[in-house]
Amino acid sequence: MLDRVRERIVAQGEASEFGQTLARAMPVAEVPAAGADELSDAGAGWSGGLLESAVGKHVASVGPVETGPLLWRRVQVSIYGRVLADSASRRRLWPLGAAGAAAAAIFLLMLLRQGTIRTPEIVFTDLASAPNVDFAILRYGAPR
Amino acid sequence: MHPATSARPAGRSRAIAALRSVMGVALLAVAVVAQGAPAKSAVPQPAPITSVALSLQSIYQAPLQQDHTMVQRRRFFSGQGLIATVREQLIVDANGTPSPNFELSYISVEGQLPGSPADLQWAQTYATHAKSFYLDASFHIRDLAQAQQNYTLHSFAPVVRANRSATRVVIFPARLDKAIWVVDVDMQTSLPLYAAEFDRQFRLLSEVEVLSCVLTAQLPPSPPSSSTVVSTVYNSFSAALTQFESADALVEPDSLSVGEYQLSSVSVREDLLNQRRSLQLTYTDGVDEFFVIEEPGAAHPFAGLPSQQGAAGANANTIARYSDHSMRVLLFWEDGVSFQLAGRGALARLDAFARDVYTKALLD
Repeated sequence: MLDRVRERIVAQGEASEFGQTLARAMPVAEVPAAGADELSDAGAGWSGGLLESAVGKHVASVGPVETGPLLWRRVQVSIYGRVLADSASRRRLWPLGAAGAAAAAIFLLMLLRQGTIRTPEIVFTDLASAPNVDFAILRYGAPR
Repeated sequence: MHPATSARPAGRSRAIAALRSVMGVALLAVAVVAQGAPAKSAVPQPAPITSVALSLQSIYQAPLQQDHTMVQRRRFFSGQGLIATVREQLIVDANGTPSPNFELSYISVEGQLPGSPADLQWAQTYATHAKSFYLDASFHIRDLAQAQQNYTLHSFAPVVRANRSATRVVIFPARLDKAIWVVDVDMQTSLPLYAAEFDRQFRLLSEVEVLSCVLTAQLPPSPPSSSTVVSTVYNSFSAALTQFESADALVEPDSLSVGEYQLSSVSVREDLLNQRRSLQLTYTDGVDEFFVIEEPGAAHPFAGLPSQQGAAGANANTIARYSDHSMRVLLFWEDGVSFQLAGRGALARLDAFARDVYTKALLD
């Protein structure tokens, strides 16, 4: 499976802009016939200046690609780490959501129980004359 | 005890109160002189009398300790400017308590012949309300601690009243939505010999003038009372509720909404004619008073008024209000109980208090 993943990565790299730029700069040499000198024939399709440059020497000196169980283990750890991190962040959000839902439910229950509390509308109506109450007699005396 | 003023610095509030009282004293001097009341005597001063140190405390204690019989004139000022002057006799048999034995009896009304319809009407009015005239329509220091907190006393001038040496004082309130009192206090006994009530525009609202004073008291045998109302005082609102069959609709007002006024008495009044009972709560600030009267079983007087229909179509609750410079009365009804709040005309805070009581009655 790892090989197939690697092949897909290589194919995507070749198809990318960077891969196309490299292909134009370094055309693929023809496969030499059997017995021919590999170095001299392989370099026939290469630019002589590129091979002799620091880039060519660096490319030639790159070590073999790391493969095997160790690399796959590293990929596994990386993937598992990302999965665990995502689940942890979802666990942190879950209590907040639950608390908000509970608060909304309690508030709704309180409203349903008590009904809508509305301040009573009270109006003042002014009287033109003093009402017939005892206090009026204390202040004004007997009616006259 | 609720403080009389808001949370302003104490020094500033005292300075403001002192300035107001000085201005009030000066203006009252002009008002009293214009009324024709004798501010200075033309009669030679009598021999010096050992005078009691004049203070709110001495005025408060005088009726509690000193028997006295007075003939006095009481003037009533109606809203239409009519003045009625009634002559009455007051006999107080002091017993050392704030509730002395007393009798206030009608003598005559000035300008009316004995036996005239007006004379008979006044006689009947006194037969029914004489007790209230003395307790609620006369000047008293009702609570000394509250009076000392809410009023200041200013000595003004020596006068002669009822042939006795007296000192004219002004008892000035800390808040101007209540009456200012000009009182002639007897130098010997600290009994009030004259009391005039002014509002903050210095309009005269009531007046009681002693014509003669004798420092003895002999109460006549109590005649059969012609009053049809019997009043019983209780210690608390809950104790008074036991006298009502349907006490659920009665409301105990929240005393925190009336500031320096405190509940001073709870009484149940029963009309012997129709067996109807009413609950009366009396609030005082030491001198001034207002009343809350709740009467179960009363019909709704405003059921058919257009104001009952609010703008949204829902019933609006109505408080009927009458207010002039002398009196403020608010009436409303809820759940079979008629409510009445009554106090001095300047006490505009009664409107908010009535709204609070009505709101509490509606939400209960």
